[in-house]
Amino acid sequence: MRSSFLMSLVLHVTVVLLSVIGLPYLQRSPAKENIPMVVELVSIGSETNLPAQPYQKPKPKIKEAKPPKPLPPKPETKVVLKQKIPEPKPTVKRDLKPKPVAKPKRKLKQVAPKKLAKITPRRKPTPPDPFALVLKNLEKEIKTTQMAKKPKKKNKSKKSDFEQQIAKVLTRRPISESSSSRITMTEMHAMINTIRTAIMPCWNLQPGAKGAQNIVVIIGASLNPDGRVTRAWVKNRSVLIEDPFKLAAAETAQRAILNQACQPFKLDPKKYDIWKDVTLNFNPSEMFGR
Amino acid sequence: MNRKVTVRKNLITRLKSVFLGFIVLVPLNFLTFQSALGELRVDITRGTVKPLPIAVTNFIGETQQEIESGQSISGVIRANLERSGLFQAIDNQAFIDVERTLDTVPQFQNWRILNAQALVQGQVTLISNNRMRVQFRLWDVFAQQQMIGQVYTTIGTNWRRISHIVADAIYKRVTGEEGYFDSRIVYIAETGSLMRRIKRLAIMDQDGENHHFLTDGSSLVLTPRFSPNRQEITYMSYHGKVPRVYIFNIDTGRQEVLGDFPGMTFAPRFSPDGNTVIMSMAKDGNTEIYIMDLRTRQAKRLTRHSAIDTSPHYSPNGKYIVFNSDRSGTQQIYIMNAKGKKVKRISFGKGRYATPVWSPRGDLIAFTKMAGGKFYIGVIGVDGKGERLLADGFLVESPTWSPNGRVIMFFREIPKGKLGDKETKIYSIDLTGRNEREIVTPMEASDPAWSPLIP
Amino acid sequence: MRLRNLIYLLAGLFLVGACETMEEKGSAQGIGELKAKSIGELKAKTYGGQVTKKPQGFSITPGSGRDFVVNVGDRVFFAVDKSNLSSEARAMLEKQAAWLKRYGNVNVTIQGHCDERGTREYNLGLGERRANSAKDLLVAMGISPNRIKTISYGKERPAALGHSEASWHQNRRAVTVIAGG
Repeated sequence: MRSSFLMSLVLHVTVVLLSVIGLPYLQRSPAKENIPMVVELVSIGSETNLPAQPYQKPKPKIKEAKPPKPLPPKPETKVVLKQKIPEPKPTVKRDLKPKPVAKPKRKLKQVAPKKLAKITPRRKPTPPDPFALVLKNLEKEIKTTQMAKKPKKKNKSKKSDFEQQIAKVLTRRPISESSSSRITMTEMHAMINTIRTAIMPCWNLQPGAKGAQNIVVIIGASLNPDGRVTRAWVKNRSVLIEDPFKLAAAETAQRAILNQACQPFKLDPKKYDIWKDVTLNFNPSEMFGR
Repeated sequence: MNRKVTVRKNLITRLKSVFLGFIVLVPLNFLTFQSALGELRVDITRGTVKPLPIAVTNFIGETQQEIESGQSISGVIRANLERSGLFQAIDNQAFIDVERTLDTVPQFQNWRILNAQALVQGQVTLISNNRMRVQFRLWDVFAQQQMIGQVYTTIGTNWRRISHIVADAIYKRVTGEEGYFDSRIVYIAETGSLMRRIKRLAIMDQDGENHHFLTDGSSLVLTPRFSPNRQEITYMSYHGKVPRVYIFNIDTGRQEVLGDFPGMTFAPRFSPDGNTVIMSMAKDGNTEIYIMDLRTRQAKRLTRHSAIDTSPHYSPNGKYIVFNSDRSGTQQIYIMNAKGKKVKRISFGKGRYATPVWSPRGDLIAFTKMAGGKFYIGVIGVDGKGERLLADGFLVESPTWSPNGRVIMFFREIPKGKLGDKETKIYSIDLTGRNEREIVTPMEASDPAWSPLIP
Repeated sequence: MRLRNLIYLLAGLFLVGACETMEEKGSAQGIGELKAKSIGELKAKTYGGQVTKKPQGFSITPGSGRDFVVNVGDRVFFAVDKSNLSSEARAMLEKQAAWLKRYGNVNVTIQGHCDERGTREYNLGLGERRANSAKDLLVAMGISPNRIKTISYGKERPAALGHSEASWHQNRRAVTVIAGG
């Protein structure tokens, strides 16, 4: 009876001690988990290694009679093991499929974010070339710069006047006075536009990659009342994680929404409950003309 | 939560839609749909094509030697990433408080202030026998997570190579594509007057370092190309005034003429498995494409046409061959199967097309185009669609792909002075066409060929 | 006959001049400007720049390479991307064939060349085609094919520098070189 009591006491003390000493230790150095495992790059045979001397500028003498020396080959370096760091699992609530949405307007040049709600008329996409927008084509540039420069400018200023007028008309409409949870389409659209224009400069694409135009990333984000993003996660991570390129695209989108340089979003604090959670569809297909 | 829009609002919306007609009809309907779902959804359809700001700290070390190695390694990594055009290395002078150890989580706010989106830390430890351990971590500054962390052990003299391997790992983790920094370039170093040009085979790392000459310039040499899997280069030499295709062994320095052809052989390239060399032979005024099996030494003719058929290059899967022919009257690009059958023309733009090179990714073919008195480097889909011109000049020629298919190297001749002189240099350009860089070589340079990733 | 001697003399003089330039500069200076000069002068110069090292005075050995260059003409020219022979080229090759018949023990190599406005590999093929069309005509005129070798230099060995048609025309050529001469 007594010995078992002692045993119990010892065990309890141990558990308590562990929880006091052990846990904070674990918390303090989370990097310990990430400590890279040793990967041995085996170098085969030291004589096959490159000479240690720094690279000497070759003399532009040509009339040497001696044959060139054989070049020592590059040393073989074999990676025996590659460490993989486990990805933190995001809390995926549900996997929202990207809805077929109306094609947003096409802008050839980035327009500075406007505070007013703005509706840009939908324009026919001109380039049939799938890479035309993000990828350079010398031939096209020659043609378009000469032909289309001036008239386009005119159109643009006209258009934005028109846009602003419409926007004014729309925003002037009396908003349903009662509650913050009720908003007009106009307000909704203004919010979306605010976030959209804010994020665009922070979304760095990888346009040269194969199939880059086909990857849609859905990001969920929580916002603070001050309009800053507190948390963002990739909602369709499961379909992206298998391909390193898709994963990279997902992370690019995640970085765009987490980039403080593009925040805070200037949204009406009274409507916070509407925009405190947002879902963002990152879809670059349009930039590739598709 | 009641965020649903009232019927009345919907009505108003509809009226507005009608009022605004074609302009806003579609977006507003879409909004109605969205708000009915009760969630704010934003479609981001446009972004920027800016390089990713990355902070590459000097790899830390204990001893002076370790610290110096660490600086050199970081320098190579930084330069590699920058040159790719996909990264922008943040100036080390701006760093606020660099972590002194690799074993703690970085102070992300210090890096966020600099707008660094990724952070590279590393450590160099010299161990016995001139061996070196290099470890690094790549951090996502916004997500505050480690993206990758690795350790390499190697011979100390190998530090440059390790730097390329680390840069490749970073490139791959961030872009999702294979890197290409641990690779080499073989090219032709040029000196002397243009009328009696002296040309030598030369090899260097992808960043222009580790430069070596492979031949002494006594024979005219042209168009070197790497074997996909051996330390070998195939090229053309005028040795003994008999222009033939040769194979150069990088390990031994041995040069060997390939086959016993009755005519001039040129334009050689290895097949993707490395077992065959495909090339042209010109005899009696007719140039045809041949293959030579390197194991059996048997040669086989693939084309039968009175035209000049040259510059053959295998598709990455080895099933097709793209080549250059003037059978239509001018130089154009054609594809045929590996047996030389089913020839199909794929270039139809204005001008002459030459030097087709199949992308390692398989989807594109790079070429040289001549039109309107100018030369261009461009890419075209395998189906002949989507031609895009990336670089131009008085003369640009000889595109070659980086192992990951993202970058093209080529050479450019720039007329200079009054005596018809010109300057010949190698350049690289990103597939987007927006990141052109000169590759600095000790002397003038042409005919670059990119190696595969070093195995 | 007197006239002929005069030409010999003039050609020899030009040759000396060309060779001196070459030795001084070690480069192709002076040969870049070939445009409006007489054919004879042009040939002498280019030939001198390519092969000879030392001027040998005024005596030209009949049947020698110099004899061939000065008194016959060693090259024919081609249109852009073409290898067919113009009437002038045919006339020149007829003269060459006649000379080769007179000196039946002489062998030749025909070099095919291109201008700089093409890609390297294609130009190798094109140069070979040009050399061969010259060879074919000589053979058709009764010269044994065993006496004629061909080699293509593509765009690797221009005869004239300069980035205009005047130079390019000089470079699109087939040059008959006397073996050992």
